[in-house]
Amino acid sequence: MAPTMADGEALERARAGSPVVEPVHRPRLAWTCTLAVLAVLVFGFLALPREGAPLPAIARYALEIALPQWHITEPVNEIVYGTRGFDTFGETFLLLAAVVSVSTLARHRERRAEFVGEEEAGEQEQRESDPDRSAGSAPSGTGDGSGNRAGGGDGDGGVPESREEDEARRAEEEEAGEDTAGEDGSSGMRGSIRERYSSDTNPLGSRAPEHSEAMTVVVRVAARGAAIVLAVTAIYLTAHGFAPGGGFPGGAALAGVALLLYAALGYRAVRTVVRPDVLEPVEMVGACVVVGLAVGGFFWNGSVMANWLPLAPVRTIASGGLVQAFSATELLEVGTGLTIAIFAMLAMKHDWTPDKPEDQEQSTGGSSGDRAGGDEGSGAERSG
Amino acid sequence: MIVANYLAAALMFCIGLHTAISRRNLIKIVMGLSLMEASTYLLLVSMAYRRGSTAPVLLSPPDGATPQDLVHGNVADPVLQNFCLTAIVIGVAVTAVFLTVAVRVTQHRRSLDADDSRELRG
Repeated sequence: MAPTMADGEALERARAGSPVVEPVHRPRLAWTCTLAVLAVLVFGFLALPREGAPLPAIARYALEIALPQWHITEPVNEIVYGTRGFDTFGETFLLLAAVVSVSTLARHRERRAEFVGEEEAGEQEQRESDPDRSAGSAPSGTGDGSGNRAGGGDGDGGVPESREEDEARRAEEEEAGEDTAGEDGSSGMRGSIRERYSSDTNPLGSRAPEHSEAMTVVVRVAARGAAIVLAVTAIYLTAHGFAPGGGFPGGAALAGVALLLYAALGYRAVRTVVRPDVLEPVEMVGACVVVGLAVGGFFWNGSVMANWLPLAPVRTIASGGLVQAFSATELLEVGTGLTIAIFAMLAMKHDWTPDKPEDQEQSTGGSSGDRAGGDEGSGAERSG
Repeated sequence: MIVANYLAAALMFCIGLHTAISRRNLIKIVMGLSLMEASTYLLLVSMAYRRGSTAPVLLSPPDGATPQDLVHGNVADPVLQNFCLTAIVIGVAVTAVFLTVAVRVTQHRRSLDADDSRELRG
């Protein structure tokens, strides 16, 4: 197909060293929009308060109440988690929504037979998009084939046979799926690749870094040291909420620790912690704590996100009351959320779409050969 | 001359906008959108700046000053810094979703070109 050919050519040219010139599309529209927006922005920005303007009243107010009301010496933290806590509350759940979106979009193909009616609806669509596939069950039905499943075993002899066939095919597919994607198969393959392409056995500077699971011993040692420093920094930033810092940068640094260790040491090193069944509960517990902090203010101090925790003396770790609790929760939320999102994207496989016919002919069809005739529409069937 | 920062933010926003409109490579479109997000960080932090101001931290006031002096003294605007912090987190979240969609579209179409995805056209 044309686009891949063009990409291939571009890649070849890039390898050869000549610059790849990408065409500019819709230049007139682009320049008109850009210049119009630029004019509006410049006009507006020139009217903004400059560096000599007095501070707005709201900023002065936030500075004034930081010490007396919140016992905290860092007004930015006080605003983020205290005065404008509701804003941060919404932001937390925006981040959570994004994480859920990413992990939903990035998930592997899964079989869904549990939801009522979904399978029947899917069968109808499948028959339209891929007649070959459903040929086994179509003749047995009288007219509307989707009634077979709903009716149970009251049909003629053809029905159970087709169901058996269907189940056999399904089992076959599952086996095939496990061979390629299963834990044993992939780790076995990884083991052999690991032996062949360890970066320690290659001379420095040789080209094959993408094959090795971990980086060289120099990088590994440095990463181990840096990860400790980074993790301590993350916790320090959050714990000392009376100094600049807070849960957001702390959480980002914590996600950086996971990513650094993954990049340097491979997934094995972080596998015990960086996995959905560990991170997702932590993320959800964090979200529940945020809701609890917000609602607690409503019950015990009159308004959502009002401080209802005891205020410790100024310049101690717990000095902010609710501010510090919220900040620590954000450390968990942002740290786990970013890690889930990043690793979900890293683990994305191309299993929502069937391979193109030409691809399948090369890789020999076997049980999957009957799908070779499928058109683009059968993508819906694979994903469902 | 904080106006220079304002103009740089406007220019950065427009570079991102131009990229998002005139390119068809999905990654470049996402990069353009990220650039537009980043320009708001520059604008917000620049708007928080005051000439000769200190950071809005009441932690260790200079000799002879109390935290209350700092409160009424010349400090940068903490509220806008808070907005910037919020914007960064939202920017990260939105970019992650964009990139995931871009990867899925690319896997489905075998192409990064937005012009190959025409179902929503018209």
